[in-house]
Amino acid sequence: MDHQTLVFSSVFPVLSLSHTTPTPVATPDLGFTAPGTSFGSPYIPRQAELHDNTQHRGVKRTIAWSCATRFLSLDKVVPAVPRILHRTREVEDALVYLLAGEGRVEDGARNGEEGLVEWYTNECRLHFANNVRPVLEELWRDEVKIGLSWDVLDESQRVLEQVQNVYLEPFNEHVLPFLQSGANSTIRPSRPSRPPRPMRPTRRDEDGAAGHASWKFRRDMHALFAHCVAPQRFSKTLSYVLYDAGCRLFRIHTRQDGVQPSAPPEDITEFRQRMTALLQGLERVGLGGENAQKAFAHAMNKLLDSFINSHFLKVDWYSKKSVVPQLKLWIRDGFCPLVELVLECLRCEQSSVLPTEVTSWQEMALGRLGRVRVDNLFDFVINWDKSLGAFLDIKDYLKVAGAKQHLTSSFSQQVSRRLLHPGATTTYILNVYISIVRAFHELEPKGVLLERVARPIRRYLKEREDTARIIISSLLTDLSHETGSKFSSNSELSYEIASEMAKPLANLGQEADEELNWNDMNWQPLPQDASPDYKKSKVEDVIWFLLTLWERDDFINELKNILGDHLLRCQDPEYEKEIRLLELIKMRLGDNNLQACEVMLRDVLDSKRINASIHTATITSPPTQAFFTPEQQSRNPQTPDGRHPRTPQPRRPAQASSHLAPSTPAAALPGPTLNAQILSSFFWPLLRDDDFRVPAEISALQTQYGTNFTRIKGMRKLRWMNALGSGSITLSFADRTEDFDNLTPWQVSVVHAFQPQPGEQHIAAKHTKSGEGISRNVSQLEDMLDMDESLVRQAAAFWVGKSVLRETGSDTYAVIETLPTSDKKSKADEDAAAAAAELAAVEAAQQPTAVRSQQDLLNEKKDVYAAFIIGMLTAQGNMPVKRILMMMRMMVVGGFPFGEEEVGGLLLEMEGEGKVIGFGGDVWGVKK
Amino acid sequence: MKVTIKEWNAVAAWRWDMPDDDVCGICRNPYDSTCSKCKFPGDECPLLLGECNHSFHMHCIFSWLKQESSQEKCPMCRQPFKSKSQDATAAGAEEPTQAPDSSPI
Repeated sequence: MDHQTLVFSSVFPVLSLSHTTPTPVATPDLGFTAPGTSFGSPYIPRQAELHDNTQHRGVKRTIAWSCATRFLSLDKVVPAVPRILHRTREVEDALVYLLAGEGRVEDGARNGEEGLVEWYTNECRLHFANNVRPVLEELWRDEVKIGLSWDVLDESQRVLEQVQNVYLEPFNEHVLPFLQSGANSTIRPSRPSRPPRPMRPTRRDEDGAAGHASWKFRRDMHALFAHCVAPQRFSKTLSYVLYDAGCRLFRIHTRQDGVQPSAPPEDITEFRQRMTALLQGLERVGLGGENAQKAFAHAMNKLLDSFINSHFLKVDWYSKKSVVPQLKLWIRDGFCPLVELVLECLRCEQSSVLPTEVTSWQEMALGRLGRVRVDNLFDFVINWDKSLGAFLDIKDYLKVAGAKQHLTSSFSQQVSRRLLHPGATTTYILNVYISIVRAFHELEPKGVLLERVARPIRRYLKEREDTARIIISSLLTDLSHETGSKFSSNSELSYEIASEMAKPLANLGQEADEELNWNDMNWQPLPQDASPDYKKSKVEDVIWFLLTLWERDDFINELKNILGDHLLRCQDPEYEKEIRLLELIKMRLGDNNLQACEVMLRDVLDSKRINASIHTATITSPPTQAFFTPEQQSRNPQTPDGRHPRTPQPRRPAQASSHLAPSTPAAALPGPTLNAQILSSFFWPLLRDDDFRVPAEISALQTQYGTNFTRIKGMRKLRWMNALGSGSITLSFADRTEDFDNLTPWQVSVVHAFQPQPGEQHIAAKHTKSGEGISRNVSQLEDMLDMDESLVRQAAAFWVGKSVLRETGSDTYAVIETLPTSDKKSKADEDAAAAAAELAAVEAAQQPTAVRSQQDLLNEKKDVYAAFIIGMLTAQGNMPVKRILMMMRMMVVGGFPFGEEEVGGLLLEMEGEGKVIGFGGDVWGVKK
Repeated sequence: MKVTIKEWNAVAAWRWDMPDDDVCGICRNPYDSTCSKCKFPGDECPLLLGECNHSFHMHCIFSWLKQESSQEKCPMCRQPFKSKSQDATAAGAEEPTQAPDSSPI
């Protein structure tokens, strides 16, 4: 042992160096050692100045020490049961001498002498380190596997308990009594330094010194134990074990650790006993305490989550009730008793649970449940109102602090991820929005939350072009007649909106001011997160939310376009839904600026009356004023009217001279009836007016109608819009007769053109072999009808699809006068018909609606604009887009209703054609 | 093949049969629109053609003529305003027909 080691160990005692082994009995001859030195310890003072008395005491003490330590030293092998030692007289004397008598050492090893208690503690330490620790370290060396946690803990606990017993037994038997008696005999100052350890009650009945020694010994032992089981690993394992115990006790099915619960339910009582035993054992060997409590807290934390996930995640879809009350019950009757049990086992100071704690746990659980619910909120919204139960849960959750913020942010995220992307159709978004409105109304009737949550959706909906169209056309859809199929197949209509519309009108009149209604016993203040100027909208039904998506004027413009289109197609002669919609909008949005819509509605309603009176005028040929009602007279007395109209010659349509003489002997038949819708064009949106020639009989009827109209209404003229309207016809072939209803005018016109012309009767007479009648090609038809090629083709495709025409060559069509009988031929016809029908359907879908959009207008006038731009750029040099736009707005005849974007598009197109060139930075010039 | 048209639903737009300057000189609304007070064009808000060939919405010219300062003159040409007794432009009315109370006011 070199000098350096000695110096070091004198400052920091090294156990193996300072600890003495019991002196062998065979070498008791202490007298021969140098004066002042003892045989045993290297720390026995070697000062020469120790006088005789001290030396004598030293010798005596050394002998006693030797005897006592020999008696107390531990066997290498840990016995299963603490061995019972029988003290001899000699040993007892030595113990008394060392512990209570003169050889006693005050705390802090005076003069380097070692107290017996410390020695024994060190002895235990060394023994533990040499004999027990390797075993435990083996157990705890690696991460403890989940499946083995229980065993490892059990084993450690068993080993430690056994060792502890072995260590404690001699201490309790042979050390403590003497300490006690020593303390009794000598008056010692009580030890104020003893730290109060209320958590671990030691033997309070013993007096201070012995109690302190005992407590200290235990503490040292426990520190030793705790040190040898890796603390992190231990608390993790314990935490897991407790979690596992909780899971088993509460039969949790979905666990975080991925362990599948054993199929047959275990015996809970037995299991509970096992857990209790383990915990108590751990507490005994000092592994309880704060660490264990921390581990327990972790376990409970996880347990709460798992339990909620396992038992309460399931939404009550059927009875639509909240699960919160059950959850609270469980906390009170299931969770708390477990906590109490564990705390009891761990000997915590306060092992009963306070009511406030129960409440706070319930809140905690509610918060967790709420979070889980909120994470799935979007799904609940979609499944509204089956998911009412979930919403009731969330409603409870909203009372938790911070819940609203969480809900808002989480839901906004879900919405932006799952709803507001290009893949979702507008109808779908609208439907979800409606669900949101309904669901959040349930969550918070005051609507503050809804407003916050819905903002991004509203913004997004506003950006979509087809939103207004879908809303309005859905509002106009009849729910009862067009059942189901229409909504599923056609994504342009929202069933939700339609059904909302079908509900009776909310009683709008009654609510004066809810806030001032003193009799309202259900009144509630606004939520605290409402902004100071928050005003709840008076009507909160879904339609209101939809109608207020836009600025009022924008919406009404859109409404005008859609309503116009709709009215022209509408089959309902009473226009009930349209009237209702208009009333509804008037009620919601006020009735100014709705003039155009009202006029449109009035036009279609009046048209019926005008029709009737003109028919009367036409049929009863003699001049009569029956159609001129007194009411009209009084209303517009100033209008010059046809008081004495010249008797119109009843011109039968068939006799009208025209380039397409119909072969129908119209004189014999009553002839077609012409019903017209007379529009006040100023108030209608721009309508399609592709011009073409309608069948002669129709144009004759139209002329006559127009004349009559002018006579009745004075100073007013009609302009026929042939692209709009509908017709129904009967086709008689050589072998069959077919009826067609609801055809577009151009379809009728095209098929009408296939009738034999005056010079073609002979062709019609002799049918070709294949049963084909007259054939015409596309350009012929264009000439005959003055019709656009695209319309001709579309109509031809339609008729091919109906097996009326057959395409005999490229662009040439012939009438199928007799349907072929041979299978092969009919098969080919069928195929062609199917293909053509499909084509016609696609083309019809592409056809613009009756109302012309801005885009159509731009396309139509593109050439004019292009010419204007080129002229301008040539004359004035290169220009930026803004300037071009400004010039066009000022100079183009008829105004230029478009913006910069359209001009840019136009310029790009022209660049593609090589007419202009972009210089970058929005400057454009003519290409030289 | 024979085509028999059973029914034909047509669409037509009406307009006042007026010369090109199709804005009422008083309210500056197009003739086809209404005067500033009316809601529905056509029957409810007819036009009135003066002898001076200036025409206005009937309601507009009436309220003008009611004012003292107007001295019953046409606001455009300052000639005394008389309603044209016959409809000069309407195609169907060739015979002069006298409206019962076509004189102003």
